[in-house]
This record gives sequence, structure tokens and C-alpha cells, in this order.
Amino acid sequence: MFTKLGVLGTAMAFALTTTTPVFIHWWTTGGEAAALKILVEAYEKTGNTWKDNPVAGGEAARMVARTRILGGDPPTSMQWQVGAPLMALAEEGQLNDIDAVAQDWDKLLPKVIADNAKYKGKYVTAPMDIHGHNWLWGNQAVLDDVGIPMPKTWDELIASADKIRAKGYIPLALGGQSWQEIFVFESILIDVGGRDFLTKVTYDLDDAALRSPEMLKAFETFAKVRDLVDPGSPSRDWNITGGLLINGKAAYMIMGDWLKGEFVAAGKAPGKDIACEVFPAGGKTLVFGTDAFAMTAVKDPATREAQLALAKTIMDPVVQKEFSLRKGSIPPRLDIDKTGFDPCAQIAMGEAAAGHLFLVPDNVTDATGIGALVDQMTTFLHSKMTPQEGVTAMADAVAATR
Amino acid sequence: MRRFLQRHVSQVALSPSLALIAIFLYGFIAYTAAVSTTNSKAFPRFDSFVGLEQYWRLFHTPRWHVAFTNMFLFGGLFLLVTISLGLLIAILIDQRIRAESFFRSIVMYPMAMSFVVTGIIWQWLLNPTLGIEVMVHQLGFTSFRLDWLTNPDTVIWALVVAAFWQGCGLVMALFLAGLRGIDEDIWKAAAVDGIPAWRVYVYIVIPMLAPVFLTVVVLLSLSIVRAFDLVVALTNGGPGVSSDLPSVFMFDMAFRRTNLGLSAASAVVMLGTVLAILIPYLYVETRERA
Repeated sequence: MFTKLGVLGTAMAFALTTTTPVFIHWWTTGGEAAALKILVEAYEKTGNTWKDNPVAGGEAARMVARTRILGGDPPTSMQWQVGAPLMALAEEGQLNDIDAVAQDWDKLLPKVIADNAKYKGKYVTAPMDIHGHNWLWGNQAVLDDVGIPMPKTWDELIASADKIRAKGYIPLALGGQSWQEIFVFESILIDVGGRDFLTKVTYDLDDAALRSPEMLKAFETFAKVRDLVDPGSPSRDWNITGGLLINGKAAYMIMGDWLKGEFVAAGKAPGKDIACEVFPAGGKTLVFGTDAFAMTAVKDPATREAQLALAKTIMDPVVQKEFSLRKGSIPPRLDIDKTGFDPCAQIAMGEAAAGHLFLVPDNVTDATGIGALVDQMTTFLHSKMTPQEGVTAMADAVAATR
Repeated sequence: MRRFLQRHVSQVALSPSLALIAIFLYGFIAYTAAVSTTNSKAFPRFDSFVGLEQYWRLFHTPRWHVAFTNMFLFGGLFLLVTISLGLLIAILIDQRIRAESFFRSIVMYPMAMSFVVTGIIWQWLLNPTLGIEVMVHQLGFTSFRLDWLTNPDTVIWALVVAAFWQGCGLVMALFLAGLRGIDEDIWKAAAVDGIPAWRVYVYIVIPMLAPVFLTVVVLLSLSIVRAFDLVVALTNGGPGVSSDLPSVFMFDMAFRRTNLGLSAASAVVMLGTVLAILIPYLYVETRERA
């Protein structure tokens, strides 16, 4: 279908081509829209107009953008992930650089973001925010009732499960969809072998690491997750799952920091009513994703100017701060002061400053390879496979994609 | 010129649509087959020919095996359940009952629903924490369990139930039309001979419905291969990847995993499966006409 759209698009491109700057993004819900407004208002102050092209859902938005590029009518700029997805576009010659306004960005951004926002040494995208993934959230009232502190490691978490169950709570709220389960799996990988092991497994898809004793240990822990969750877990959406934590039915949940939006809306304060921790504590690894705006390879000078103005606006310190305050993320710029941010965001900003950021494997590794790993991860969790069978099945499936 | 037009008017009238079909159907089928022999990722590229490597890869992907097996499992169960119950309902309605159109409408009604709506309705009904299971528990039967949706071994039944609920009306209508087309004299003759009704159905009427069976099987088979929205709405392939179908796999590879080559290979295999069903049908059809 995609290919058909592409060819169709080419035929129609001439009719569609416009010179008004168009921006594709997927920020359509409450907090996201409020954050976007900050960006748009600041951008329009530079004398440009923002022609909005929102598409609900990241996948759908990227599909629209890709189809428009294929059809020869690229948007001026579009929300796009940094790293491999961006490089794929750049290699096709579909992106403009914005080095004219990015001279000092190397000093302002964490190295991992700077490296992944550049193609052949030149910036092709401007990063707007940082969202952390491997957060452990704990309902403080439930923890107090059970009489336990927030766990620091997976062993501690699993050890506390019996006490939590004895009081009638669900130990871990988990939405059984692969994109949610991978956060749990990644934090176990960090727990077992630290940042290096996570790198070898999820970035390099290293066969030796995938079959190592550490991996077996990770699967042994992961197998125990089957007993930490409630029967309604499979296929459940993340926000409904979040409700279990927020309403005090479950003690813990592992989810990205966008979960904050859900409990702030329910009147719970991050860091107080809902405790937070980058998990495992002391793992020196915050897996993160970045929302960034990529600049397409337009030639028209006016549109080119619009791209540079947008890049400049995105990196403006005031915009970076105000945007993240509303979105629940943290700013990529390291020189933003922490006042006004909630305690959890402040922890994240500390991690970013300490160089603990770890770009989400989806944005680094070949999508088919990491996809095979994710498929086997979720298959294992929903089966009765033994840890050893899980290790072998995952390593074999990943090997087949090479 | 005029004579040419007179003689070839039908060909001239048909040629635009033939041209469109040639390009937009067969052209793109060929295009997809071509893409499946390349290492295309996010964009189709023809400078990366890899032969049949994508097919090798496809059949070494455990998830594809799950999806491909599921298609036959789901398909077999769906055909069996829908045809047998659809026929039974058609026979019951055919008994010259009172308020026939009322019952017919009830059975036909789910057809008006899109698969997405069907999927969500059944997702709620079968959810063990808020659906039928909870309702039965509240009635006092606390040992009752209905975990089809959350159990990887039974999730396929959840798909079958939802698909049956939606497809039953069409099957019933087709069989009912077939039953109404059967000569009254056959029934009269059977009555004279004193043959019980069930034997007339089993030995005479149902064999006479053979062409209807063929139509039903082909229609349902195509909807099985196409099934996509139902899975996405009902289970999204879960738990794990246990309710994956080839169409869902193909979509995932093309748009989420940006692997057009592998996705195209799975599309070609799906086309092959459809042809395997269709060719015998066309063969029988043309032979009967001849």
C-alpha cells in the first residue's frame, strides 16, 4: 500500500506543491497541545507563520511525512526521532542542515543527543525535549500501608511482592503490550549487567551477549514478572494500567515519564504522592527518547529561512523550559535551571547532566533486529517457556535477521 | 472508423478500465514482488537486489510462523463454526416461522457493524476484569473463568467468536436463499415416501446446496486472508504475538519496522495463499460453464 501511495504521490506532487511552511507533528492531547502552543507563539514572534499539520499518533504522522516526501511535496519540518530513523532520511538526501544557527549546540546539548542529531557533522534536526523511559513509580500510600520503601534493585522489588500481595494490592501494574513490556525488560538488563550489557544486547544485538549467563539471569528475573501482574494485564493500554497505580490498586509501575501527566491530572504530586526513581537505582542509565524537528531538503529560500527560524526558536532557553514544564519532559539544553520543575524532572536533569542518558534502542538499532528481540521478549512473557528456552529463542530470532 | 467502432464497441468501452486494472492491480502486484527481492528499508530501492533472501528470512522469523499458522487455525475454526451455525440458523428460519423477518434482521444486524467496532465490543465483553466474567461473578458463580483474550492458547477463539458474530448473517442469508430455491416437489416427494426431515436435509437438500457452499467458502476465505482490523481492534496481536495474522505482520514490517523488503515478501506469500484458494474455485467454475 505504501509503495502505491508513493507512486500516486509522485503523480500528484506538482498539483500539491506549496511554498507556505508546513509542520507535521503528533502533539494533539492536552499537555502536548499546551506545550506546542509555547513553541508556536515564540516561532510566530520571529515573523513567520506556522501552518499546522497535526496527525494523531507518532506512527501515522511519520507515515504522512514519509509519503509527502516520496511524493515530492515535503513538509517544511516534521517531528522525527533522532538517531537511526533520522540518518535513514539524511542518507536518502531528504534533509537540510541547520548549521548556520547551530554553531554552539555541541556545548549546550548532551553528547548523545548532539551526536544523533547530526549527519556528517552537521545538525539536521533541533531537539525539543527529553522523555525518560525506565522510571519506577510507586504509590506512596500503598507503600506506607505495606510498610516498605521504594526498592533499589529488581531483587528488592521481587522480594517485596509477597508483602504487597498480602495486603491485597497488585505488586506491579503492567500493560501487556510489547512497547510497555520492553521498559521492564530494559531495566532488568541494566540491573543484571549495567549500561555496557544493555549496549551489547540492544545496540549491538551481540550474539555472545544474547546467549550469555547474564542474559539467562535476566530471563530468570523476567519470568518472575509473570507473577507480579494481575490477570487483566495482557494487551491493556498504558493509561488504564496507570489508573491501577494512581487509584492505589497497584504498588509499582514501570513507565516513561509521560505517566506524570496522568497522575497530575488526578491531583497527585510527582515525587510525593507517587514516588519516582530511575530504575534500577545506581544503574547510571536513563533510557530516553527525544522529540525533535527534522528539516527537509527544501530549496526555496523563504522556506529555508523558516527552517532556520524554527531551529533557533526550538533551542531558545525560555522556550525549552516553558515547553518541558507543560509537556512533563525535561529540556535537552543542559544550561536550563531546575527551578519550577517537579522533583522527578529534577532527578532526570541530574542524570542528563551526569552523562547517564542512553538513547532508546529503537532509534539506534536496525528496526528489524530490535523488532525480533521485542517480539521474542513479549512472546516469552506471555508463555510458559523456561528462561533457557527464552534465551535461545531470542538469540535465534535475532540471528535470523542478520 | 465507424465500422471499426461498431465492430469493437465493447472492447473500446472496456479498455480504460482494463488499463487501470493492469496498472493499479497487476502493475503494483509486480512492483511488490520486485520489492520483495530487494533489501529495501524505509523506501523502495532497486539497487540492492538480494534474490530470495527475504523469503528465507521470513520463514526464519518465529513471529511469521505464529502469524501464518494462526491464519489457518483461525480460518479453519472460523469456516467450520460460521458455516455450520449459519446453515443451522438458515434451516431454522426456513421452517416458515412466525416473525421470520424479525429473526432474520437480528442475525443480519452485526453485518452493519465495522470490524473495528466488533473488535472493541468483544474486547470489552471478553476482558476478564470488566466483561462477562465479572458479570457472572457478580451473579455468584465465582469459579467461572473466561480468559480467552488474555490466554495465548485460547486467544484465537476470541477472534473466531467475534468474526463469527459479524459474518454469520451473510452466511445465513446465502444459505436461506439457497434453501428457498429448492423445489417444493422434492419435499412433497420425500413426505410421500415418509422420510424424516433431517434425512432429507442431510442426504438431499444439503448436497443440492453445493454451489452455495462454494460461494460461502470462497467469500469467507478471502475475508480470513484480509482480516486485519478485527485483530488490531480486538487484541492488537497480543498477548505477546499470539494472535498475530499475516496482514498484521505485513503492516508492522512495512510501517513500524521500516522493512519494506520483508513486508513485500510476506505480501507475496499471502497472495500465493489466496491464489491457492482461488485457482481451484475458478477451475471448477469454468469447467461447469463449459
